[in-house]
Amino acid sequence: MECISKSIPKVDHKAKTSGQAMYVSDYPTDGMLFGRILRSTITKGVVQSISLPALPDGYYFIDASDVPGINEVHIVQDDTPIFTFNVEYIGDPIGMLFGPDERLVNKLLKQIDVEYEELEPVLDILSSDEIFFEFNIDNGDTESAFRDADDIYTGDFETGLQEHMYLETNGMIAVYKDGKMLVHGSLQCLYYVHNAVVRALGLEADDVIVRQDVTGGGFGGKEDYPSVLACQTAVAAYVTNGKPVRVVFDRAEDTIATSKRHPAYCNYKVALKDGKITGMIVDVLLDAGAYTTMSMVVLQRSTIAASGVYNIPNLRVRGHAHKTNTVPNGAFRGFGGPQTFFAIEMMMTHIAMELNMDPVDFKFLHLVKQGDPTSTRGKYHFNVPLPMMINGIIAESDYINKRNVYKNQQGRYRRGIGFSNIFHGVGFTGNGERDLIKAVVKLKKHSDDRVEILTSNTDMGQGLYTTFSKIISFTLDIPMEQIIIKPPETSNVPDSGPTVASRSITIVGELLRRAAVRLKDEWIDGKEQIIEQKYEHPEFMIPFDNDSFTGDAYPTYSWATTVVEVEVDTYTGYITIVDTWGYYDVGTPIDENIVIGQMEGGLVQSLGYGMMEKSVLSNGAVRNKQFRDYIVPTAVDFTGLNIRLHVDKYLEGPFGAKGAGEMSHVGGAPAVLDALQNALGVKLNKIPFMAEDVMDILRK
Amino acid sequence: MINFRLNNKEVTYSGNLSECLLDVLRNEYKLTGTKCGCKEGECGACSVIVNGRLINSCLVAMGSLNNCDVLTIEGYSKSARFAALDKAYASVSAVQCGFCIPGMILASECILSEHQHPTDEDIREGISGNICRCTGYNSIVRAIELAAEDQVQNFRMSYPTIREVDLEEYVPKVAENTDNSYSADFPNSLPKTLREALVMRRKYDLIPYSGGTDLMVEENSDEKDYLFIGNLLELKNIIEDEKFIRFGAGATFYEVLNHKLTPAILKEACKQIAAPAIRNTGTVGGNIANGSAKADSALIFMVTDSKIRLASSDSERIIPISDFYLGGGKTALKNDELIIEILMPKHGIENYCYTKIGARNALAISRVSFAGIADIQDGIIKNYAVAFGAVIDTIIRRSDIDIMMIGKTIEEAKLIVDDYIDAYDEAIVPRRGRVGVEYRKDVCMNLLRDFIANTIC
Repeated sequence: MECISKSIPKVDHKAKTSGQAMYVSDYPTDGMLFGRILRSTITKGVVQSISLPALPDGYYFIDASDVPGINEVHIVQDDTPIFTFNVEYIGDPIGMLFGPDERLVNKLLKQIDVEYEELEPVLDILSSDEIFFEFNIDNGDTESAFRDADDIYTGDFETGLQEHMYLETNGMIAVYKDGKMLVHGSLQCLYYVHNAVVRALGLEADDVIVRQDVTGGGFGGKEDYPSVLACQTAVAAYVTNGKPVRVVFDRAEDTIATSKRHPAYCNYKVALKDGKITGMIVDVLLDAGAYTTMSMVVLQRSTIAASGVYNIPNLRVRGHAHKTNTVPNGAFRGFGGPQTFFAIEMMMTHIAMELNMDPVDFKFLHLVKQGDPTSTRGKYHFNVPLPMMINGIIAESDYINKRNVYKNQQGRYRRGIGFSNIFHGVGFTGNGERDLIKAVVKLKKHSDDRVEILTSNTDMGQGLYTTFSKIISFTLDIPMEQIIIKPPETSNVPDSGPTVASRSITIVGELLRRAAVRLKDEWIDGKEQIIEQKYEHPEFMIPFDNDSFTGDAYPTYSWATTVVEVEVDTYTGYITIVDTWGYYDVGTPIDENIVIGQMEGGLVQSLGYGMMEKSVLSNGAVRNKQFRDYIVPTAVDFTGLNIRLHVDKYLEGPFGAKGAGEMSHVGGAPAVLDALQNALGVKLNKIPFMAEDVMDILRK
Repeated sequence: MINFRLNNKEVTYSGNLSECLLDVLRNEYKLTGTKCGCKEGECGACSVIVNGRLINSCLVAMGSLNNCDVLTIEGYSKSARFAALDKAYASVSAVQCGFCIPGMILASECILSEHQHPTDEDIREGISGNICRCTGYNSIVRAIELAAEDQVQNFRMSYPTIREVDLEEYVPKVAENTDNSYSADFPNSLPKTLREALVMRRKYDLIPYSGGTDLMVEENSDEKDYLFIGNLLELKNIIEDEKFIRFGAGATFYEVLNHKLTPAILKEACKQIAAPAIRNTGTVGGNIANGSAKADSALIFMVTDSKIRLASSDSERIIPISDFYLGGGKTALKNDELIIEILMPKHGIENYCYTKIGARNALAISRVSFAGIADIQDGIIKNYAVAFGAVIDTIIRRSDIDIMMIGKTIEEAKLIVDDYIDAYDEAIVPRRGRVGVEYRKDVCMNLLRDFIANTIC
């Protein structure tokens, strides 16, 4: 283990345990105005009229006509409105009511009467013909592969809508004073919010300051949505001029209005010859919801991952995201990966079952290795450590023995054990880092020789302030106490890109390391010094061509293999997760505890995604909006987590580190479902798979 | 107006008594370490310690806190054991986003104050009402284990929780009392005695508030007028007489669970209710009064043919609990009545089965629940009873079907098992809820068959 991996107390630890950390809802409320969003109660239509109750002095209502700049929230594209009269889903924002008494605001909001002309919505993704995005992969000669095949296998797979359920709901405060707009709140991506607010208000970039407050969890859920809320809050602050305006969602509003994980429908056709896969045709359909938000980039990852960790010489994938009149789906840890990795992993197990082979052996036959082409005709440039990791996890979990013993069980309680392999591509897809993000970091050495880390990357619990600080501390060989890192504010920090895509350590951390190396060289005691470091695209990468969707989508990959053991109560369908093993290669852990915490937390979310967490829609709106009915795991649910880290250093990453944050959310669900296949002796193809589904199977 | 101790300081609160503690802590006392995650007792972010026990501050109306001792993270973080926990949490990096952490730390304190050497199970159970979406809980469990090893003695947080009372000093003899006065001035919904409570109940339009864990979840809960009866000691007694174990309506699930008189079947049901903070506040009386078919303790009272004692300021009655439920969430409780106690038969309930199916292992609302009792003596079935919860809008309890088993020998019973099952097959017509009709039906019948197999086959 590297020295740097040894864990230290996190730098933001004490503020959080003692309750002193300032989340957005903790700021003093003197003189503050409180806002609530007026949301569409119909699925699709045009607002005809809005009748307001008599508003007392100091209470305001704003709508699209009050937006001083452009009434669009800049995300990837610009179709998301700040406020709208053309509502596209239940919850679409029409306006905002705000004033000094939050309760009165709530009451007045309920008295607003909106008349609509209703239009026919599209709720079923399978009947939606409005294609937002499409990507195609066409490698080799699939036609010949299928023509010459011994056998052809097919499968349909379905994954559900997953809700982030971060503990802290979305919230934002904005104040406009002396021509300057300050916006601060719970967010992942500082400059996304900044760019969006600048555009919405038509202000100069320098006149908008965005700051991150301590953020109570994100998981992707605070990637794009805070831009929407920031624009809305900033418009209100602009209108009142001088008074701070705060909008903090209650749980129900957060669930109704904010992004979710895209539901996916995947169809696989697989050609086999001599027991090996020779060709694969995949259709990946994502339900984007009402606006495009992050769907383009999520779809890229889904499309790229459609062939999983397997080398499929002749591969055709069509990935497409369609519009429905439902809440827009966006980023969620794994970012498109969990959907297609679930599908490919299940497809592989189904073929193995048909061939009477153990799925582990069948998958092993097809694993990619260093030098192999990727699904986008890039290259796996570095060692693929999966074989070693698989051997380790199979032995530790006693998989082979259990898998056999658990076949053909009788009796009330039946066990099963299952297995999955996945990767996660590190950083933005394609040339995103080079062409879109162009990250810049700064190190500022103060005259007292303390070194301040200046990046736009946020800590939302994943430990970034600690890991960034360790990178600087180890590179400069100075104690942690000599390092300053604070929640970023745009007036201080350069744009080092968003805190997403498992990129922060690998990309931004490496820039910081390089800056620190330079600072060490140039160090002059007692003098203020600033070092700026810009992103350089790795030279080894095969250039990615967006039009043909080919080239290196990612410089490198993190790898994981997961084994899950379940017990099913055949009288009630209740599924108990007995034990889980997760082996992860994230390169060098910058802090072992922090990485293990990321693996454990993501794995538990992934197990929930597989067999516990189910969003139910009615007219396109989420019906289960609360913790009581959107069920997430408690401390007594998934108790036996066994995490092992395999270290395959990435030489372009700081100290050999590569992306860690998302990967653990990818492999749990397919492993659970495979375990259920083992327990029930059937093929399964959808998540979440719950007690009711178990009973449906048993009834047949 | 109420007085209470807040972080070891006496305070007087003269605001709205129906407001929840969480809002008052954050808005009035500016103690923002207590976080709001859901406002319905399902996440634990707002956990604080009241009278030494963990509670969800979003589910507690101020009126129920008179003379109570409230400890928030701001007060607790000055203690020696906080230092031990803080160090342990730091050493395993158990804090990620931090939003659940103040509540989690206070839950940790409650585990350590209850168990000197907590097991993994004690720890997980102790934090089962505190949702953490970041860590997967492993590191938090490790942190609490480490802190326990430190063996730091904290300030004593001993409060009388489990009372033992003689039948003689058992107070409520309502009807004999004609004193219709009470000392406090209205509007005051804080009775000091049961007598006062009954008079207030008759005089004013007040919603009886016992534990508050259901009431406070309702919309506009802060605008309703409550009659705070949760602290009346007369309603908290758990005693026995010749035939019955008598549970005061105000006994919390924690008190029921930890009382030596409580029969195993009821303990098993109470153990599976929600999570510690809810069990520390929720009461058996409240569980019945809400009229819900999903009420976990009510299922046990139904299957055991318990009785329920109701009183108004001038009369009282004891009715079978089955008569109390009118279906559709309605009950037989009259506008001037309060539930005084539940009388549970002492004998013939040892041989039982209880199964609750929720969506997870804690904080779970029943999707189907089943309880069965078989009292078989010398080969003769003295009593045979089953009940199904959460299947329709009321608990299914069909003594008219069960009667076919009663008085039979095991051999005779075996011959009519199929008829018995058929009768229930016809009687159980589930409604669709979070789960479907077929699911509910299959599970009910599976559990019934299993119960029969274990008792008479």
